[in-house]
Amino acid sequence: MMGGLTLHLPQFPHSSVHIGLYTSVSNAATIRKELLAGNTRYSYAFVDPRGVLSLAHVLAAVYRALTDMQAGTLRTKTLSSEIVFAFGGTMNIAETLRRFGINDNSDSLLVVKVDTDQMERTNSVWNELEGIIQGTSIPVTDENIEKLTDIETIRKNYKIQQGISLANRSEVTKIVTGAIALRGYL
Amino acid sequence: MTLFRKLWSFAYPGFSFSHFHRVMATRTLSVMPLGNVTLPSAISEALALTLIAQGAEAQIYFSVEHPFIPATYLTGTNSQPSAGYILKYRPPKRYRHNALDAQLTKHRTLSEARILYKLFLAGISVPQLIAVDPRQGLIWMENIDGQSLKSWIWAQETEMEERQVDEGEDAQAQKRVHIIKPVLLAVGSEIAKLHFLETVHGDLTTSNVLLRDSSRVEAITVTFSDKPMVKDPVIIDFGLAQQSTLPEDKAVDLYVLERAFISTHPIHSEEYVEWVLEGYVAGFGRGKKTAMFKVNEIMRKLDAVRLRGRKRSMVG
Amino acid sequence: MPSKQEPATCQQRPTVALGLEGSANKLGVGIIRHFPPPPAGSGQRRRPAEVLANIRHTYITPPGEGFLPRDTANHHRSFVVKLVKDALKTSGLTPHDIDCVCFTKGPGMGAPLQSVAIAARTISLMWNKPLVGVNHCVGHIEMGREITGATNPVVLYVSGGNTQVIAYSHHRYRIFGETLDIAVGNCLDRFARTLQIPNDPSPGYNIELLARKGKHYVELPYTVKGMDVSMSGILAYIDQVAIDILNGNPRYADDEDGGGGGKTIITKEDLCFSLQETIFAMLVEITERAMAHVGSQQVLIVGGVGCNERLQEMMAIMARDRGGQVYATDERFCIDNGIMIAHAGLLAYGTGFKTSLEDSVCTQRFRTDEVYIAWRDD
Repeated sequence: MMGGLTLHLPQFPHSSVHIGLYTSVSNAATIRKELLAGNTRYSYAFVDPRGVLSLAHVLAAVYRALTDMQAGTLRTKTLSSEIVFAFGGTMNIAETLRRFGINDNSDSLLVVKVDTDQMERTNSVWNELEGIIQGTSIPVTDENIEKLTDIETIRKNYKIQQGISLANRSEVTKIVTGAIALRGYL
Repeated sequence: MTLFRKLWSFAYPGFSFSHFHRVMATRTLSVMPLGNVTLPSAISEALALTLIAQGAEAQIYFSVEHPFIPATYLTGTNSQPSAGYILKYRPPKRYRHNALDAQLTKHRTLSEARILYKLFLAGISVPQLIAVDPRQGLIWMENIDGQSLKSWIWAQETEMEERQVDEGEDAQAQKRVHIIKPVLLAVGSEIAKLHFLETVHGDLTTSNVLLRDSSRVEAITVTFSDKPMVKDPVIIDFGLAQQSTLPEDKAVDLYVLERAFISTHPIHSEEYVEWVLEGYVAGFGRGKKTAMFKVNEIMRKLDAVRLRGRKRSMVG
Repeated sequence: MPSKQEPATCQQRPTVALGLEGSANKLGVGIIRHFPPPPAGSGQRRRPAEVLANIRHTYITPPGEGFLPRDTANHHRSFVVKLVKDALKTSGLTPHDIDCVCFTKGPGMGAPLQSVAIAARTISLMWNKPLVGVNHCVGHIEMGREITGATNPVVLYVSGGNTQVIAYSHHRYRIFGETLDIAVGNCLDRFARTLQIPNDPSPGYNIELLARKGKHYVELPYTVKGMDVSMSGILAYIDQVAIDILNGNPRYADDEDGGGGGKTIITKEDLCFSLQETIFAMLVEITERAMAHVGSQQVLIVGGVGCNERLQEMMAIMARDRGGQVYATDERFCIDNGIMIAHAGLLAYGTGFKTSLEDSVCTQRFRTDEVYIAWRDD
């Protein structure tokens, strides 16, 4: 099933960024267990879509993780965990992974995988994920992502003050993009 | 005072005492880069970048492409069409010791990025921060689609001059009030927001304020022209910006802008500066009583700075 | 006292000036000759000014001590007559051949300035020659332009008493950037005192020699604010570091490559090196900003600190990267001297400028941009 998206970022022409979106996920707890156990079949960035605004949001985190990897300044063990960490605006790794990453009760998942070798293995990524996730793959579009966003989760995750309205999605994207860019520097 | 200013600006056209750190008359696309300065290859090979400005410290590149969002995904719901992106680059300075150079590049890049973000969060009109690489001295931000205040005023004045044959001096003055004044009031107000946040720009000139067509819809009572006159000022270039609570520093900021008006728009500069300051005072702290004390202090300091001209007298 | 001679402009014949300088601890006497410009359209080049005498005597204090105004004034008083006599002898001229007597009106230290001004007034009355008061900074700039041939450079004027970035515009040498507190030479001199470095031939030169042997960079506060610089913070900081070391608390290098192994102890050579690298980088930065603002490709360094080869080197790297050029003079001209006063004074005299006795009072504060540069027509 080819529901996923594959992109290339201009500065990383030899890397493919695969993004998948799944609803009606029933085995989040299992996936999380395997992930924490370090099972290499599960080397993906599993993100809870409730905390995701848009594709731009996802790509900001991916870009941050990739540029840090290039600079040799990764804070976590793998690129996948770094991508999840990159969503956050603070240096607290555990807290960020908890807020943005997969939870036992996650019923939908946004998955990111970056292949940094030249092999074209798009099909294989989606097949692998089909084997891991018990859920429905839906097209990765801003429309679909927005349906899954919980705006109050965004507010909590980025500690956005009550006075600031979250109604304008593009303004909120600016807030989170800036937070991601400046994480660790503020 | 008017005569003095007029004579002074006549005698020294195009010259200013302000703290310019680069020459950027217009945002042209044919700028000569400095000798040995090139972007890190990873970036220059990946994106099509055009050098649009070259200062003493940094280069400004324009990119149609976003650094990480492919073009097809750029216009999502609620977002406006993109005006492109700016990459600001602080190259290494070979005359400095390595350790010092690395430290300065990192510190200044971060300082500017942090200020941009902080001001945005506070609701001030500035370009959006997209990404920052302090180690390499790179900042990605949105490009503002709009002309500088400097060229906009020139355009307005030129147009009015062309029509002046038919109308008199009074009609011209009225036009300025209707067309230019609202924009300058808004500019003053935006600067006031900046200062209220204890931040000084450090290089306030009419080239560092851009005018974006407003998305607001306002009733326009002016019948002189059928062009929409509603413009949003956007302040740019925070490379010399700093945190400061001192009224003196804010006064110097305003003085720099005043000198910029005098040197680039000499004929009506007094009027223009008056309007900017009017907008500044009205907009400071949103006009709250507690803020009035602060802004009066700044105005007093501005008077003192004007008298002093260029700072201190020398000791031998 | 009015002069019986017509104030000759050097349009008609060569003119000669005597110049006296003593705004700090250097007493300088110089004699210079200017030639009339070639006839317009002749295609001939202007004949450069001729240095007929350039003599200097410096008041040097023991290591660890700075020079005080009263003692400096004493020194100048004691040596001025001898220097003027020697200058006349070297030039082979007599008082009759001199057209005007130039002296440093300011800026500078009060008592030393006064003592030289008194000498100048006395000579002017004795020889019945007009007086020309000269701004010390303008003297440096004009001498620098003359010697190097730089036509319209951004000028970095750095000495014990001054730190300014200057650009010429509409008959004024305008100050673009300057120190917000102390001059760079003052910073170096005071640090030399802290380290008990000898003042012979000058503290700055001895710091330069030590700096060449320094290897490890110590991080110091770097203060550039817009077009201005501030030195007092750096001085306070590095003084403290030096005092700590002298009191037996060694400091270790923080720029070790590779790390591991034994830590290297910071020496006074390292401190001199770090201080120079930092403050010179600051000066180069504000100079570059001025160049970018006025669109100039030339830099002229004048003033005592301008002799420093590391500063010249750093400025040259910056200028080359901009496609520009650096101009500097040697110690005959960059260190305070009488010839620059004679030169600038004669330029002014050539436009009809004179200083009456009443106006010949010295001023400790005399800004470079207060002088109307009548002799330039660009």
